Amino acid sequence: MENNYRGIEKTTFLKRFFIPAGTALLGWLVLHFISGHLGWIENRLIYKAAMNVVHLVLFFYLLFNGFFVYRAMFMKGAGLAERVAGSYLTPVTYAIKEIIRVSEFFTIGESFFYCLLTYPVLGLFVWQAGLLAVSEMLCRKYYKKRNLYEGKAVTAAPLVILILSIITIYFLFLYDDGGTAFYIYMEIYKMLFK
Amino acid sequence: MKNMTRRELLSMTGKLALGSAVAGIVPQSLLAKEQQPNIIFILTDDQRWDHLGCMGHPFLKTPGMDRLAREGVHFTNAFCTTSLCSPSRASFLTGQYAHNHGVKDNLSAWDDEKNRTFFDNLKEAGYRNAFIGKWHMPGKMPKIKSLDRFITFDASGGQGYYYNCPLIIDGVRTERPGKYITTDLTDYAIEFIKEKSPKPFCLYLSHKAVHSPWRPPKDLDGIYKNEDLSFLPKETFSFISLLSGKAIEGAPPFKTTERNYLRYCESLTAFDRELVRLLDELDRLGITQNTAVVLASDNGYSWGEHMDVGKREASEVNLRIPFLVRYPKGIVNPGRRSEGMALNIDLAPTLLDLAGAAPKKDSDGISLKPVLLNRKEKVRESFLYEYFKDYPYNVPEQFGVRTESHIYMTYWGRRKDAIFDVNKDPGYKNNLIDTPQGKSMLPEMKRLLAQHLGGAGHGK
Repeated sequence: MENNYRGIEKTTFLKRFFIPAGTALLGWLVLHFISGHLGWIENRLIYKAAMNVVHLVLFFYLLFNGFFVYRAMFMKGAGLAERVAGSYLTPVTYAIKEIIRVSEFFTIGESFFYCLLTYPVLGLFVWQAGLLAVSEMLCRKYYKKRNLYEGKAVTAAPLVILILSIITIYFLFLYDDGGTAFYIYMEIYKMLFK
Repeated sequence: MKNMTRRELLSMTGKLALGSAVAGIVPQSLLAKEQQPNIIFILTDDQRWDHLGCMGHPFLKTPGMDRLAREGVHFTNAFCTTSLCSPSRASFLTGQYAHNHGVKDNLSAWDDEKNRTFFDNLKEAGYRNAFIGKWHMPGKMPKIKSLDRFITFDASGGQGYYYNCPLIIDGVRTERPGKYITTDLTDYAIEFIKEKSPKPFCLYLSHKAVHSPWRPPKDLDGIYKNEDLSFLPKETFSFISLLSGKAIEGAPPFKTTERNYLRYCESLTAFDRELVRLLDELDRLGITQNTAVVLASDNGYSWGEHMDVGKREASEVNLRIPFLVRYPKGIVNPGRRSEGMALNIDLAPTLLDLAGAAPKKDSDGISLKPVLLNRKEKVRESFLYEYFKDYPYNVPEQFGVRTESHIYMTYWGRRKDAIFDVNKDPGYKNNLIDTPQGKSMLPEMKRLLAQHLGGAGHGK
């Protein structure tokens, strides 16, 4: 696919994958570290403000960093598989961190199954898929506008992924306030573990 | 002393013999009927022990609960034995720890065959019984034969809704459009106590309030919006729901801790207003003196303590519950506070004791009647705390024993066992188990835990 884009040079693996994805991961790790080390702030107002800001930034960082990682990798000539893998690096690391964390009190099987819970992991993964589809189409549009890409900006594959992502997000979070999704999740849990 | 004639002696002997015979043949319940009180047990949901006006809350107004405290005994060291809705509810009904009644979490079902409630004993003692409100225990709707009235709901997995919550009235599903649930349930409660009957009544009024998603009635919506919340714990912040493992059930983290807290207080005020209405009705009916009113909550709740909004993790604010008893005819020296440890499992034995009904032989709880009569200050030295895994909530299965000064906790999984000083460290943060003090306490704490569990623990 990248051959269709004039002006995009395929750079080294370090530049096209490791730097964008690694930087995003590092950013998350730093934010995560900071979020857990603000207890030293004595002033109540400053502490509260800092906790609010850091946790909001962390939340939106997790939600949106894949969009920018995908775009950066796209422009460095990374292939589709690399772009997807690089964009999911931070969410997957986050999922691994969650599995390790909950394994403190759940069995190994339950800890992995925890990732299928709507919030935080499954929802993040589904959201990310839709976001990458949007990022793909916007990148194409960007190059098309500059006459560097001759194909269509909007094609079936990313469009279907985006629509499926929106439907799933609606079902997971908005339909019945997430109650039905949670009910199904728990029914599967009971079948597997009870 | 006056000398008795032979005739008088014979007559008195005969009366004594007849009395003894009657006492042996006639059920105690009939003999005691004169003294049998009406009983009202009111259960709130997730109400903190310190969220009453009379506990010095900065802005919460609770004239109803304050009246109960003023006219009764306020158990200021009351606890649930499992800080979770369903197990605690079953403990109130059965007088048993969760490992005995079997409702261990929000997934394990209530067993009609196995579990007897205090309603059964009250029925045998001549009571007419009603359960009105939140049942919320897993499994099918229960069939409790000793209930004359059973009004509940199963919407939203048994949690119900604050508005328009359909009720199941004696088995018949009934829509309740436009009704606010706290008011609706109180209406049914008042209807029940107004029924004319020669029998005493027992009403179990179990509210949805003040469980999430806190919704006050329209006229109370926003009444506390300008209140200063700087008294909330230092570690509180607006987006606690963004912490790992805090937001479950797909709750989008858009509502701040402060907003939720104010809605909680407003919903509690709405509950108290209905309590006032119920107490006024007792006055109007002239039955206040002979009615025992007990108010408690199923568990406590954290509002920012140890960066939590919830109830599952063991800490003082989650274990402690409000517990008030008003019974003008049966309380000596009302208006006092009792510092002795009272538990949710004490409700059943206490009510049966007050009613003069046969005790529940399988009860783990202890009657608080001696405390009400001011004959004892406390009925126990320690109790068992247990929490069974409630997947996917991020809290380990745990068993502990709490004394008046410390709690010893053991956990399933990797978390280290712990001893906390409950008075100096109510958030359970400073583990003493490796300190000289902790080491010296450990053997006795282990012994107490084993004694309470009786082999029912997780074997750690």
